[in-house]
Amino acid sequence: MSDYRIIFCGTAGAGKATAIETVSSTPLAKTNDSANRAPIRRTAAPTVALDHGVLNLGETDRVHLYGTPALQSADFVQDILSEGGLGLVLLIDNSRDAPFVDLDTYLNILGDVSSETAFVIGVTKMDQSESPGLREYGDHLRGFKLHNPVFEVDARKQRDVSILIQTLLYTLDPKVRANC
Amino acid sequence: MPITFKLITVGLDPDVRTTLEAVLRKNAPPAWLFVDDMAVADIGIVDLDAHDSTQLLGVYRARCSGPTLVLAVGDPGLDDAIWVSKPLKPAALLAALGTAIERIATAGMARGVVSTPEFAPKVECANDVATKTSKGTQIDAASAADTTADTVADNTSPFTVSPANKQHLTDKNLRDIAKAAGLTQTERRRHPSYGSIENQAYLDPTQCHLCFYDPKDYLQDTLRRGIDMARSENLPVRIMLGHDNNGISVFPTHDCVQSEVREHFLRSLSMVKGGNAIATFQYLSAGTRLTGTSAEPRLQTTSTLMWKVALWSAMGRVPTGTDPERPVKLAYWPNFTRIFLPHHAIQIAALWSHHPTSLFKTADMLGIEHRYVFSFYSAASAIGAVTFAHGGQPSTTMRDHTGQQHSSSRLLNYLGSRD
Repeated sequence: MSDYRIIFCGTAGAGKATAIETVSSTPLAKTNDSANRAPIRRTAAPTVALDHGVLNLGETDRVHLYGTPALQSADFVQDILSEGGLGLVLLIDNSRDAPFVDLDTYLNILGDVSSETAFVIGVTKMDQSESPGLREYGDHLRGFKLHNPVFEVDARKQRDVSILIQTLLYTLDPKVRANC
Repeated sequence: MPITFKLITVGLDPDVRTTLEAVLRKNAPPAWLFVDDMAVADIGIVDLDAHDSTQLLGVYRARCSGPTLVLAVGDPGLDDAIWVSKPLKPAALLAALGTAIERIATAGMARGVVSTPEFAPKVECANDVATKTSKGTQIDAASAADTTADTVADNTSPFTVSPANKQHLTDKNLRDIAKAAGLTQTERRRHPSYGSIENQAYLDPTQCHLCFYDPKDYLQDTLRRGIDMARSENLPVRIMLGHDNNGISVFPTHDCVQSEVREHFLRSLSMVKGGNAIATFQYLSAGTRLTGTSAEPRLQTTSTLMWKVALWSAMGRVPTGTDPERPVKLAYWPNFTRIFLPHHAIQIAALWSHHPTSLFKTADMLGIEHRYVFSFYSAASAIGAVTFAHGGQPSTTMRDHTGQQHSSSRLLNYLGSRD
């Protein structure tokens, strides 16, 4: 059995748990080190509960989807991704007062992780607040010399979350084929 | 020598058109060449059960005076059109085409000339017609009448289904055409976004002209002009399509477009060369308000509509002047969750975001057909999401993620099956 991992992080209420639940093969669960079927070897952070869902890919592979509590450290994220980590989905709630401050906070927390790990950004609740727009997010990221994908996302929509994950995978390697 | 007639389909689902092409290709002469330019078509086939079919028929008739076959479940009662009932049967279609050719011949004899070049005896195949003859060639009425009479009077003509032809009209053919024709009533909303240009054409210098188009000949340019007008004056602009005042309104302050015509109609108009000819522009007052809500399907962002219209106009081609050898980079990621997502779009975008790569090289590296790459480029270019990389060289280096490829493939399969 091979286990792979994708982390969903972002501010409280951004839709992490909802996004995981939307695509997970299993019901959303709260998990920690001991309860986790794919043990996380943690070195720095204290034990915290994670939202957890699983994509079962046949009988041999599983992709674990973890939703982290807001503002976890880079070490925490790195620990989770250290074995079988595919990448990171960062959800930003556009209806909050200062979405770019939230984004900057996460980019600073993640630090080197964001430059070494594939990650995509989903902007949620754009129906409640259209500004800033996606082009502004792109421009803002370029200030960090980042060119990561930024999409509008409704965490309740399977297609939206699916496109985020597909983009994450193709960012890792555009040559990967769905039918191989 | 086979005679070639140019057919244009209006309002037909692309699947139906493809099936028609396949069925007609398997029949005896004359040859049929499906074209996208109304101005050169001899015969039009209009799907009357399509949405906005009346508008489509009006657009077609404004541009083409040739006979019209109308496909409909019931008799539409149009005296000047030839009705072909649905579900479509090859024999009925061929008979109707025969009637259309009779009308062409009658009109030619009445005028003393036949102005369509397809009666020229030198024509050998459909492609030759497209490349070797010029519009407006005239030959004398006698030879035209002889040729036509031979064609339509002969019992072995294709307009009565001969035993030989029946061999081609297998059960599968019949099933396919009936199934495809039925799709026009239960529209699957599949977007004809990639065209049908064979991979070889992109690489063959003698055919590569097929891979380019001039947006100025298509609705794409009309929409672009409307958006530019609206933005430059910061006023809403109405793009009227046809004579019934229906059209598209561009609202620059909201960066959105409200359409009064159905997507099916827009798609058909976008695909047809010359579809831009019927458009007129009108500034609206600054106080003009949007109607409907953001959930209204006909209200969409300008880039969402521009993206689609460009895909439909491009049909696997790129704008004239594009250098397929020059590396392309992604300027920004199109909002894939809110636009029509073409095949391989994420792959191409992912490649171009990190490694500026030429169109040709992209197809090679990703192992995909060129038409997908060309289509994506055209749509992304229309919304400003791609630029050429200055002095860049295509890169073939990728991060080494071979250990994850297996899981990534399986995950993509899983997600794809759930979409």
